[in-house]
Amino acid sequence: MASEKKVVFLRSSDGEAFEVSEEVISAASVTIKGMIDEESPSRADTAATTTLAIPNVTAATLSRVLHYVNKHFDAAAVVGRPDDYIFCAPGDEHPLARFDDDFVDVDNDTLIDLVHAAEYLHIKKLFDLTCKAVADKLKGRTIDQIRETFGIVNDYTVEEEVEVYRENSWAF
Amino acid sequence: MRLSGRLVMDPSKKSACAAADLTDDIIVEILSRLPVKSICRFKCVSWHWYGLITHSEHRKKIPQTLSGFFYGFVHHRGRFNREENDIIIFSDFMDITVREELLFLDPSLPFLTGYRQIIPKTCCNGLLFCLCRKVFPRDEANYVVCNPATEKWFVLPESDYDSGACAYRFRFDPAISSHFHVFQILEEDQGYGFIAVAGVNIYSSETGAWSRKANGWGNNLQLVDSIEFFFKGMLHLMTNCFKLLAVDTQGKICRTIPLLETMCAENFCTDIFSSNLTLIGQSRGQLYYFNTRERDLSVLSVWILEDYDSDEWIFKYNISTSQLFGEKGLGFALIAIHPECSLIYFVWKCEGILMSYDMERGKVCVVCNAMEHLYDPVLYYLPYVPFLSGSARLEA
Repeated sequence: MASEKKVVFLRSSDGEAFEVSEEVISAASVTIKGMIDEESPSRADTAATTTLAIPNVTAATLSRVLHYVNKHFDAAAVVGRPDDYIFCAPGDEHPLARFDDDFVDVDNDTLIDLVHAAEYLHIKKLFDLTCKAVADKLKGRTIDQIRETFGIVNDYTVEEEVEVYRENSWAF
Repeated sequence: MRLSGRLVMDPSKKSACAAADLTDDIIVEILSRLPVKSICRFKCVSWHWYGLITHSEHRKKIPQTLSGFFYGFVHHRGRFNREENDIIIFSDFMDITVREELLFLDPSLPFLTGYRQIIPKTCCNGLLFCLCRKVFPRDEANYVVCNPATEKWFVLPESDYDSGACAYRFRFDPAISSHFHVFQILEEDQGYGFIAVAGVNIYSSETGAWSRKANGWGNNLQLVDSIEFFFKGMLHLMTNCFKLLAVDTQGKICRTIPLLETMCAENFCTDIFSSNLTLIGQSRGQLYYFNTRERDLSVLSVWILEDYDSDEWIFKYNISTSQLFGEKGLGFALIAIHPECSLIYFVWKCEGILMSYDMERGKVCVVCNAMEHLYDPVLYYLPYVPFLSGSARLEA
């Protein structure tokens, strides 16, 4: 029995439960590793599997996150060591580079939900990937488009706005 | 009263605008992954975003661009008595941002203690390379590498080369490595005042040691002192026969880029009192070369090496300095090109102003007019791009 791979269940904010290898999710998510470590003394001798509530993440987002986690952190599935790819020189194609590109090729809100989930679950690689993807989407946007995207009120006075615009006019 | 930049969203509309729920910390993380040009544009989004982008803690993550110029000038106490003790060197900083917090308290670098005179020689990606004369013994000096924003500094050990003249060049590029290099270009008087390059010593902060590099630069090589810059990780030097040499950190000449004949007016100005319009710099990954033609100061020509791997300089603009400074405008100096856009910066000494000129749009702008001591000769203008992440290896 000890050789059986342990699994945990994660329950999303909308009540759906997802099964994931304890080893894989612990390697990926600092937050969940912390939850499991807290639970472990009480379940040491029981065969019951643990279910952890993830109240901030919906089922749709959680299933995407677990798809990513299984690709990147399951040692059996990963080619080479999972951390190697951050040291790749630009241009070096990591085996998961294509997967990552496709993974973040989603609509804005889905992407933002992934950013939130990665931050809450403390999955650094996923957080880096999704923040970079948001940044890439913002790069070419106008000021008005940014305000609209982020629901921002322009709180500059007219004088301030003129001054800041003048200082940064080269960037337009 | 200031509003927060974030709107409180109606929960029912949440899915319509998920980005509105991002915390400031996450917004900073996203901004830190943008190119510097987008970041500067997004300062205009709101006062709240301006605050996020320019906050001193956040600036450690967010890419930085040109924020101003260190400059220094010589002041002689006695008009005719020019002994060294009477020379005072003033250091100051021209800030080109409007509202951003200055990153250092005092541009005279007082945190470098034990020195009576500090002369910054080069500024490279946020680090200053300075010649510092000791308080005691008075005739000794060190070269010091420092980061004015973090006040970390490092005293360069002396090389074993103690005979004859040499010139120092400094290179630091955090995009390539957190280590810096110092090039000591050894010079040899071959008679009749003919000074040629005799070799090069290179100090690497990675190895912590100087190493003598085999010359292989050919004989009778003479350099133009006033032209040097770093580009693509390599030191570029100008020879007196109008070629640029690209030297890597091993001291090897990797490339020789000839200038066009039309670019070669012998106008490499060393007289600090007069106009200086020769400059090479990089902007947006391309090399720019500025010079007058035939010593005619009324027209400044601009060439660009669009493709670094070719030798093809392309003539791009003529700028009429008489339109910028008036027919008799004198005492102006071209001091820098903005690394991210088509702005170039002039100092007009007799008016005491720093001006920018947008080459693409033909627009002139007075950036600041607070320069003092205009009639004292200026020693240096050093463009400053802050380096804040603190990963430069500068443990004293």
